[in-house]
Amino acid sequence: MLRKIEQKLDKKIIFAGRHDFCESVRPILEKEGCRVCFVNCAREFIAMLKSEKYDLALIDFFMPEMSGRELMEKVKKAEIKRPKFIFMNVAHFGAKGMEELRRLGISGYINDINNENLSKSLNEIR
Amino acid sequence: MSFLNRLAISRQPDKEKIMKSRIEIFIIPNKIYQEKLLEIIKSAVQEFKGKLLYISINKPAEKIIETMKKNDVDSREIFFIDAVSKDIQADISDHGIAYISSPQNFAQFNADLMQILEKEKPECLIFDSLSTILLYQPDLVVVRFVHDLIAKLIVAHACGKFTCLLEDINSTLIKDVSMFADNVIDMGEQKQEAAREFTNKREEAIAKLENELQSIREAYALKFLSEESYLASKQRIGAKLERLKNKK
Repeated sequence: MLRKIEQKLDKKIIFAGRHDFCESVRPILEKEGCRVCFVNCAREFIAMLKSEKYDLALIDFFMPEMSGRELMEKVKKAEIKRPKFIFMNVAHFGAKGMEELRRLGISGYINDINNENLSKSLNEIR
Repeated sequence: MSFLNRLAISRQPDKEKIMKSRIEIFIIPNKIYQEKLLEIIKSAVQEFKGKLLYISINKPAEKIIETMKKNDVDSREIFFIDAVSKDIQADISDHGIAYISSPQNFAQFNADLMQILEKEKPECLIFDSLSTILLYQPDLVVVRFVHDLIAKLIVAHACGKFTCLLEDINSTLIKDVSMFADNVIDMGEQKQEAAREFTNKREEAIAKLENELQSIREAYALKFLSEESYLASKQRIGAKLERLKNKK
């Protein structure tokens, strides 16, 4: 039991996206020992990235007011380079999209949200 | 190996699948839209005989078929989805054409379209056009719809050709949807390139004829040519030069 607790992450994750989507992912992240902050607007997202240090930013590509690409354009404009940014909820990016991901500073993308691929992603920042 | 590397590798389908699931977006200036659309259809008909699906939210299918016939494109090789005529002319059905709800009733349009895709299992889909669908629904709704449609095509190893107007190139929709595509083809640039090529060829031909005319003049001056031959040649080259110079 003690060993299990030791293995848990103590990481701060910021999640940008729809509230219901965040709520479906939150239990998986919290089970891994992460602290999750939720935002659903670009201004708040940028303000929080500027004011606090996060280990990972998860971005729902289909946000209510703008797409993940538009949000990342704003992040880039604000010259924020950390933490690691990952798009969620996208099944496919084409060759053109992969170029754009590199330009925007996106590290990867995940489509189907499940315990396994989120845990893998979290292990990366361990 | 890091998670991101593993993720990148798992996102690389084999070459055969890439070849089959090619997603292309054609950016076309309004002025030459019909001409370029026909070119896209023509090449798709040749490549995907009998397995081609054409979704029109722009014009009734019958109008498109008429235009294709005029331009010697075999419309029998295409299955049409007409999302324009159903609201005007209820309960019509025709061989090779399916009439579905317009994108104004987006949920129904989406459901009808997905049902047909399941049934017809096309190898290629032409979507005419992203610009028109923007008139009915907000950008982000359409981005989500196109993403889901592209994902469906990729799972089925099918190709997708989406057209949009050059005038919409700065819209959120086109910028976002371009990320799901393998290739974005600017047909306005293609036309400019063709025009540049044409101008270069014309200038080359003019220079060649002017050289020829100069040689004839010199040959005549040195009495290698009779006056009759010189005048005939001069007239022939002069006429060619005039034609070329007037050509735009």
